[in-house]
Formats: sequence, structure tokens, C-alpha cells
Amino acid sequence: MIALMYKDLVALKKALFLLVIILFLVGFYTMQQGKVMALPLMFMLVPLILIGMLWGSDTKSNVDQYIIPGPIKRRTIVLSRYAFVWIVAVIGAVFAVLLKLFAKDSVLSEIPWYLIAVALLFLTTVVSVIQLPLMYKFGAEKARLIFVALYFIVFAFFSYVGGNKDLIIKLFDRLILFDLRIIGLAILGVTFLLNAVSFTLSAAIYAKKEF
Amino acid sequence: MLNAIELRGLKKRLGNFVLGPIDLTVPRGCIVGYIGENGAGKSTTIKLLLHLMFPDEGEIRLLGKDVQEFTPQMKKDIAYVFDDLYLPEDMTLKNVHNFHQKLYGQAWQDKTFSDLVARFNLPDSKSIKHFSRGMKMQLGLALALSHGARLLLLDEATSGLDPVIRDDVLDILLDYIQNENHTVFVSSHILSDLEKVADYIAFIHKGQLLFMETKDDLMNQYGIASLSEKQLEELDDKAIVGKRPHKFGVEVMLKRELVPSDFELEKVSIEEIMVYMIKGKRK
Repeated sequence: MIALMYKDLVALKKALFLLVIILFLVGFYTMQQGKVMALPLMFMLVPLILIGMLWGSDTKSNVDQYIIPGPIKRRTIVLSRYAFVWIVAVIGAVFAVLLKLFAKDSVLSEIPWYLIAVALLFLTTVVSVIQLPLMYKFGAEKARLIFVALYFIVFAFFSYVGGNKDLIIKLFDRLILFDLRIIGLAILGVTFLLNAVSFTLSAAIYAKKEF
Repeated sequence: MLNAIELRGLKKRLGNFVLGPIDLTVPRGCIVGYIGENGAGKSTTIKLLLHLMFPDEGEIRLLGKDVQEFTPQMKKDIAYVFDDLYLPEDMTLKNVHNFHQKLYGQAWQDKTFSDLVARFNLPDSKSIKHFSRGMKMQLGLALALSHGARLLLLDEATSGLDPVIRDDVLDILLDYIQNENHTVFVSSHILSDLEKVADYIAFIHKGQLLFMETKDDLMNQYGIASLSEKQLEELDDKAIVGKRPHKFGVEVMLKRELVPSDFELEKVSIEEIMVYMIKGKRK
């Protein structure tokens, strides 16, 4: 799998460099605007963008046809895709927790660190885990249409969060009545379950795919 | 003796096209040329061998093992070169090398790869999108030969290459086959190349394997003669494989064993065998 991730990083090095610069610029802007909470939410977009780029690169080079007969299982090829999502999710979660500790944002400071961490794991993976089996099932062309729809959903979510900060706080106030550790565990459980189901589906679809 | 490839009742349906059922045995230590028209089923067969496609019926065994049971370790024994190098085009030679080193682990042979790269004079820092078709094929071949594989599958790997590079590739195949455990199965349109290197010729037509014979037997089995219509009528119909009319009569490919021994027949090439068999059947 290390070989596959190396191949992906090399194939996307220019695009990744550009993505990091854009993230820094957007991050700087949101900090200046005092919207620190929006920073970790940017990580929701990163797996979407990464998967889109990787898929495009793989389709263009027809690399699956080359690697499948090689010394690797089809399941591992699928796993390497998910690994990117999971790495970004973990980085996002760590970043959000650090932000809570070091930045003075009223919303973040009210939420326990473990809840921030699991929420980020959930938010950064949820769209990708829906997207990936669809992409494996329907291929690049139809996946582009799915992409567009998913981007709209993500942007709608961003707009909603941006415009309803109070609603989020109210929701949090209600949730605070429950034991937050249990809520955190529940979110983590749902995240693991979604990822496991999605990976199993993708691996099953890919195992039957002909090239 | 262990066979390199064994196909038993292999069948694959793709829309209206049906490949097989094919029964084919490729002994170890030889070069087999797999020939046929466009769309005859050559690439489909190779994709089935490489488990890129799944058969509807039948069994595929490579190096004595069922392909469905191949582990990643066993797959290191199989090398392949397609008609293009299917790798991300932003990769440089160094990246491609590192990728394969990680992919093949201990089976990877750095020295073999470096020697082949030096032999082909491939540029180290250029990304492969700037490689010519010939350079891509050379790199593909260098990669395929650098992990100690015992079976090499080539799918139209030499098409579109200039004669000098093709000759280089053929030399390398001949070097590779010096080891009696090595086997090459090569599909190609360039039949003159196969004539130079192949031990066996397998001919597929409309999804059916018409024959697999040693090249020498095949070329001794048939002959070409230019005859008048009257001479043609005197011949046994079963002796005629195919015919091409011309201004002064007709050129026919004949089975040597079915014509009188004093009959003068010219030597036939693999290309002529293929053309006469296909066109002769149409007529």
C-alpha cells in the first residue's frame, strides 16, 4: 500500500502543493475575519478534492490496468484510497483540537476536545464514504455528476453553519444535557460504522470490476 | 513438465462477441506468438490471463496455479507489458523506479533495471509524458524484466515502434528466454517480428483458437503456388486453404501433404498464413 500512496503523492504533487497554498490563504483570511471555527471545517473539503484529483489522474493514466495484475490485492488498492481520507480526517481532528487549545474562539472553547475530535473525524469522512462506493460503481463520468451534487451539499452545509451559528450553540446547549462522552462515543461509532460499510462496499464492487 | 499457461474451456462473452471455448497449453521455456485480426480476442485473452477480466467458463492456470488463487507473492512471477505504459504521466524514471521498488519489495532487481535503462538510454529526470512511444515501451519492458518473473505477457507491445527499437525488444526477449524457466506469450500484429523469435504460433480468429503449432511445422505445412484456373480445378478441395485471384490465374495457399509431391510450392510466411486463412475463408 505504501507503493500506491507513493504513486498517488507523486502523481498529485503539483496539485497538492497548490491545495496547501490555497488552504493557507483561506485559513489566513478566516483568521483575520475572526471565524476560527470555519478553519477545521475546511478539512471537510480536502478529501473530496483529493479523491477527485486522484480519480482523474488514475482514469487518465489507466493505472488500475497496470497495478491489478501486480503483486497487490484489489482490496489493498481500494484501501489506499480510503487511507488518504482517513489521514486527512486525523490531521483535521488534531488541528481542530489544537485550535481549541490555542485559539480563543467562543464556540470551540465551549466544546470538549474529544467531541471536537470525533466531530471532525465524522465530518471529514462522511461525504467521501458516500462518494467512494458510488465512484467505484458508476465510474468517472457519472461520478462527476455525483461530485457536483456533493459539492452543492457541502457548500450548503457551510452556508448553513455560517448563517446559523446561534442554532448550533442552541443545539449544543441541548446536547450538553446528555453525557457528552457518550455522545462522542456515539459519533465515533457511527463514523467507524459508515467507514467500514463504505469500504466493504467499495472493495466488493472493485473485486468484481473488469478492465 | 510444468506448463507456463494452461487454458481449459476458457469462455468469455462480451456483448455479441464470444471468446472461446479455448483450450491452449503453452509449455515452459518458449516464445509463443499470439496472432489474429483486430477484435479477434487477443487482448481479451491476455486480460483474462492477468485477471483483469473474469471468465464466464473454464479454467486458467499460470505456472501450474489457478489464477483465482494467486497471492500477491505469486503475482511477482508474472510480468506484463501493454500497448501503452499505464502510469501517471507526471512520474519521472526515478519515481517509476521507486514505485516499483516499493511494489515488488525484495523481488525487485535494481541492477537489472539500471542495466536495461542504460541500454535503452532512457532519460532520468524527464517525466514520462515527454517520453516517445518507443521510450515508454522500453521502460515498460525494463520494469517487466526487473522483478524476476518467469512468465512475460506482451499485448501489442511492439506495435507503432520503429524497426530499430523493435529489434532491440526482440533481442531482449531472446536473452530472457535463454533461461529455460522463462516463457514469453506475445500478441502482435507485426508478424515478421514473431517469425524471427517465436517457437510457437497460436492463431485466434473471431474468438476461436484455430491452431497452436510450432513455427517450423506451420511453415512446412503450407506452401504457396500460382496456378491457372484449370490447374486449380484439378486439385483436391481440401488442399486449398485460401486463394487470391490475379490477372494470370490464381495464387493459392495449399496444404503440402494434400498436393502431389512433384508440385512446386513456395515457402510461406506467417503473415501469408494468417491472411490466406482469414481471406480464404471469407471467399
